[in-house]
Amino acid sequence: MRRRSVLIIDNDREIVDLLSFFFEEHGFVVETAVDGHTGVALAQLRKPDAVICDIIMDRMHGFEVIQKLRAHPELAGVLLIMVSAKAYKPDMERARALGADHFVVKPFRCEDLLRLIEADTAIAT
Amino acid sequence: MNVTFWGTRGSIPSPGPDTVRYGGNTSCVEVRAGGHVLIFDAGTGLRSLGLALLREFKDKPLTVHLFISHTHWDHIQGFPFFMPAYRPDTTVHVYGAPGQGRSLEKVLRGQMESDYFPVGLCDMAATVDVHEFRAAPFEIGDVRVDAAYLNHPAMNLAYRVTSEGRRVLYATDYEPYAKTLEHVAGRGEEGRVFGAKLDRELVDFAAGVDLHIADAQYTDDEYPSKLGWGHSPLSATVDLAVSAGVKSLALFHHDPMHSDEMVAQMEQTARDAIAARGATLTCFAAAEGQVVTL
Repeated sequence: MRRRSVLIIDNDREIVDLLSFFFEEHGFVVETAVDGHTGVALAQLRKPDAVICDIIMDRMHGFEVIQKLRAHPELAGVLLIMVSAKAYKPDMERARALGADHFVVKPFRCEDLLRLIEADTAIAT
Repeated sequence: MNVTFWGTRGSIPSPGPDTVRYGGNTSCVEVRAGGHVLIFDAGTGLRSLGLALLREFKDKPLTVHLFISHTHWDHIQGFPFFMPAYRPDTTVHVYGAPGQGRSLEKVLRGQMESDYFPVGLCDMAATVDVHEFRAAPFEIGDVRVDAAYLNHPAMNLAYRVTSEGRRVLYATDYEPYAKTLEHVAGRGEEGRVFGAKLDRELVDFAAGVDLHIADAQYTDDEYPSKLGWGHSPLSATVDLAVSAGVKSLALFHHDPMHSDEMVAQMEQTARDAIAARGATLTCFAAAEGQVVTL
């Protein structure tokens, strides 16, 4: 059976490590990046089932990441979850308008992200 | 290094008899460092700065470096009125955060479309180069500029200038994460603790600067009804400056509803709070036309 895959893009290494451990424990193939630029390159290379992406990052912020992923023909349908401590409605609306499927405010529980991914029928095992 | 305040008001220009002392023009601060002209934000104060630069550089070519914190009205509205940009021997380097759906250049061009303004960006005779700020530090000769994102409903950058051993931090339109996560997102104590960790990053960024130009839009009494609008209550501004050990604090981005009397009162409240903490930093409410030499 094909293993599900998730790409985690966040400049907070503690969050990246925490999510990596959690999703690997749940049988996912996990890829990670600590900046948006690397994250987009990895997404194009690995074509994960889901992307979890922060907003505040140097070089390329999360809004740019969404745009680039959605503009890529093979990634247009990837499940995209934005995670951020920016809890403002305009930021959430902007993320949705650019193509994010979900916006989760930090701090979050890993189980909440797993639930969102498992609710996506295309990714469910 | 010389710092001149050309616009100290937040949100909307507010001229009138009640704002004579601190000014009614929106955000614009000039920093002269290492022989370069750096400008922070293009609020309506930029118009007066432009006229002063024309007088100074009458027959000489002019290059300015304009750093935009974010593209809300009160930070870009003066740009179409920056008269040096209509001279062919002027070069304007504009820096800002990468856009969110629209590039920085498109946003600046957009406010000069004919629905809003009679003259287009392309009619400016100057060379206008727009740079998206991606990697810090950024250097202009011997002047170093670092940037950090602030918590605000936009991609909003703080800029820290270092030149000849002096540092100025321009950090306006900031609301503590601890406040928004606890109250706006409704995450209670867990949100406050997580947010405080993120707020610490700004304390580190501000550590020991000679001048901290800081958001001080609301009194503590006003703040609860303005939660989630992206600005600081006065006590949070003072906390940040004292924790960071800054040498002087300029209260900035005055609320348009605040009269000179209220701003002066906030200045005194901040000074009292600083003294109560046993700190020695100097604190003043920034006034239009004020020059600070570091």
